[in-house]
Amino acid sequence: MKEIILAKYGEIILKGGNRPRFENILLNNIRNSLKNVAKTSIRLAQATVYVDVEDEGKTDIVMDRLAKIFGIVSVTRAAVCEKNIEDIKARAKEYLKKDFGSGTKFKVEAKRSDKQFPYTSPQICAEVGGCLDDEYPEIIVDVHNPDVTVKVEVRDFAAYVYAEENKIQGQGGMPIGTGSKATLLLSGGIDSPVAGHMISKRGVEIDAVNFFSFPFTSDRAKEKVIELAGILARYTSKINLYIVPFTEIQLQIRDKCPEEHMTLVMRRFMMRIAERIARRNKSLALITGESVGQVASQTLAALDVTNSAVDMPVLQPLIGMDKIEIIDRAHEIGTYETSILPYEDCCTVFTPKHPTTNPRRENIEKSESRLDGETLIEAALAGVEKIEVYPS
Amino acid sequence: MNENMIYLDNASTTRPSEAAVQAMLKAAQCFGNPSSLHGLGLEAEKLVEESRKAIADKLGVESKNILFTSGGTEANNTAIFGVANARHKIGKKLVTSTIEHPSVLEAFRHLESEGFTVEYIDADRDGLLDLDMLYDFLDEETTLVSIMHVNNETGVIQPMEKIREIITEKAPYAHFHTDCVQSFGKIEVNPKRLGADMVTVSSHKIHGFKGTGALYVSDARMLRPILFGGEQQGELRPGTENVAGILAFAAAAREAISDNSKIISLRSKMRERLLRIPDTIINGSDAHNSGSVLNVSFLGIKAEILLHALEAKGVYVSTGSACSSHRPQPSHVLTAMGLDKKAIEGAIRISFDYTTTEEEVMRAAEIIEEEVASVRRYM
Repeated sequence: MKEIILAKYGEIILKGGNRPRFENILLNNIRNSLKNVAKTSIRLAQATVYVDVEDEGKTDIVMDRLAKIFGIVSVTRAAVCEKNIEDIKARAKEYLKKDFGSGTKFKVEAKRSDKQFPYTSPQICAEVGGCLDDEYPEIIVDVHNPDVTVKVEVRDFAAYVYAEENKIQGQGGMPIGTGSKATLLLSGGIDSPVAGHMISKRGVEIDAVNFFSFPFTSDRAKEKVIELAGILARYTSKINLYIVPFTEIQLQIRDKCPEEHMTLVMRRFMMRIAERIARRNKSLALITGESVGQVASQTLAALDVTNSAVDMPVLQPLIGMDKIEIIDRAHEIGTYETSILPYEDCCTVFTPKHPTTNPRRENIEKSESRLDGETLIEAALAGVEKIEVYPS
Repeated sequence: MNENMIYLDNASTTRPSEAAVQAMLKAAQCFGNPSSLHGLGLEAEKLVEESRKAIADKLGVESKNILFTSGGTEANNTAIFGVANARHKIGKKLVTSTIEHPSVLEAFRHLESEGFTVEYIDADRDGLLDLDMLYDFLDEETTLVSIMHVNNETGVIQPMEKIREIITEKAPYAHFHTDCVQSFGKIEVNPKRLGADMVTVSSHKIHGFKGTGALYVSDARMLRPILFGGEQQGELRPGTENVAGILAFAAAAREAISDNSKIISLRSKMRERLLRIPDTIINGSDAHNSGSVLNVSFLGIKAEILLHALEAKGVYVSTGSACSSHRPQPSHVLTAMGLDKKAIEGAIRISFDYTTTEEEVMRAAEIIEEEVASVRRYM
C-alpha cells in the first residue's frame, strides 16, 4: 500500500502576495534538510507539502526532520487512496489495523476539498465509519471521546487516510530565509541558544558570535559552543559561528576600569564587536539571551547601557521570561544538557564582587574611555575564527 | 600534538611504548578467541597466558594469582566488593583512607549504603596516613583494609609494612588490598613485601593502552565475583579476554622499571627551581615520595587557568581540582590533608616518568615561572 507524508504549513498561507515566494523558500529548506537523509520526492499543493519517501525504512527519520523545520505545523503519515469511495474504504480497513485494539473508541472526520467528489463529507464519514465498524467488531464508535480519530481527506490528486493521533506537532513559525538575518551572541549558557531558536523560528537566518578567553576558558568550552550551534543548526540548517579572541580586552578592562563597571564595559565591547561582524555579513539585528532582572547586568538600567553601545536593533526574545520557562524551552529544543556542561568560564576573575545594578551611561562611558577601544576591537576582529557548523 | 611539547602529566596517562604498539599489531593477526577449541584459540590463549606470566614475574608472584580486568577501577571494585560480599558473615566492618582514588572511595560509599560500616583514616599535612587511627579502627570484625600504595595527587608513599603489621596484630580476619596503580612501574611493587593480599595495577600508566588492568589476589577464595557469565579466568572475571590490551600490558610491563632514582632527581630539581617563585608551597612529604609527582600550589592563582596557559606553551600538567563556576570540586586529597582553600585552588600536579628528561624539566620550570607571573598579574 502506498504511503506518503503530509506536512502542513500554517502562517505563510496568510502572506498574500509573498505566499508563493515563501512557499518556495519552505520547499528549499525541506529539500536541504532531507538531502542527506533519504531520497524523496516533494511537491506542494493546498497548504500541504507531500513528501514521498523513496528509501524504505526512512519514513520516521524524515518525519522527525520535517517536524523541526520552521513553518511546518504538523506532520503525519497517510495511506494514499484512489478517489473513489470503495478504494478509500479498503485502504482505511488495511491501514488502520495497527491503531485499533479491543474496545478502541473511534470516530471518522472527513474533509472534501474536491467538491466534484460524489460524496459529501458527512456521507464519507458514514461510509468509512460503517465499514470499519463492520470489519472490526471489537471497536466502538464514540464521537465525543475517541481514542482514534480517523481522518479522510479528499484532495485534488488523491484521497488520504490516517489516524489523527499519529500526527506529530511541527515547530510552527516561519520558514528560515523569509526574514533576513540576525547575529546571535552565543555563550555556553542556557539562555542564548533559546533566544536564537526563538528568533530563527520567525524565519530569521542566524549567524552566531562567541567570545573566547583562553586560557581563562578552555578548548572544551569552545567545543561546547560549537556543539550548541550544531543543535541550533538542526532547526536552521548551517550556522556560521564566529569565535572572537577576547582575553586581551578582558585583561585591559580588568586593569583599567573600576571593578563594579567591569561586566558592563565588557558587554558593551561584545555588542560592538558583534555589530561589526553582523554588518560585514549583512545581518540586520543582534540577538541576546537577556531576561529582565536575572542578573546584575540585566536590570533595565544595565540593559540600556549595554544596548546603547550599538546602533542596531537588539532582539531579546527572553526578556519577559522566567528562568524556569527558559529552562523548559532549552529542554524542548535539546540544548539544555549541553548548556549545563561545566566548562563555562572557569573564572570569577572577571566577575566583580559588587557589580553596579543602577549604572548611568556617562559613568560607564567614562570608564570605557580609559581604554583604546578601537584598537582593541580591530585586534579582536583580526583574530576572528569562522567555523561553519552543520546540524549535529 | 606538537613536537616540542613537554608532557608532565604521566600520573594521568602515559604515551604507549613502541613495544606496546607492536603487541597490539600482533594481536590483530592472532585474532582467535582464547576460549575457542581450535588452533587459533589456542594461539591466543597462549599469548594471554604468556602475558599473565610477564605481569606475575614483574610483581614477583605466580601467574595463577593474576586476574586481568578492564582497568584499575574494575580491579579495585573487584577487590572491595569481592571481599566485602564474600565475608559479610564474619563481619561488616571495612577500613580505608580519605585520600584513596574515587574508584575505591565510591565503592566503599556504596557498601555503606548497603549496611556495611566503613572507617576512613585521615591523612596529615604531609599526606601520610594516621596509623594510630588505623590501629584504633581495626578489630576482629574487620574483613577488609584498602589503602593505596602511592597517592595519585601527591606521590606520597604509605608505609605498607607498618600497615601490614598493625593489621596482623589487630584484625586477624581482615584482607589487605592496596591500589598500586600509581606505584607499579615507578617503584618496586611486590605484593609479598608489601604484605598485601590484593594489588591493583593498570596498563596505561606504564606505557600500555587504556582499558586493561590487573588484580593480584593471593587466594581466589577470598573473592566473590562481581561479574557473571562465563568460565574465563576461573569464573572470577568472566568475559572474553581483551587479548590486544593484555599483550600490550605485558609488553609495557616487561620494560617497566622499578628504580626510581631518576624521577626522584627530576622531582627534586623541579621542586628547587619552582620554590624560587614567591608564594609557592609544595604539598606532600618529600622524604616519603615516589618521585613520580610534584604537587605544588601557587598561592593566589586558579590552577585551571595556569594549566591552560601552560598548555598554550606546550607544557601539559593537571590540576587536582576542576575550577568551574557551576561545580566547584576541590581536590578531596588536598582537602583531607588540611590545606586551605587558596592552596587547593592554586595547586597543580606535575608528574614524571622515566622517559622525562632533565632538559624538559628545566625548560618546563622556566615556562611555569613565566606563566605563574603572567597569570598572577590578572588575579
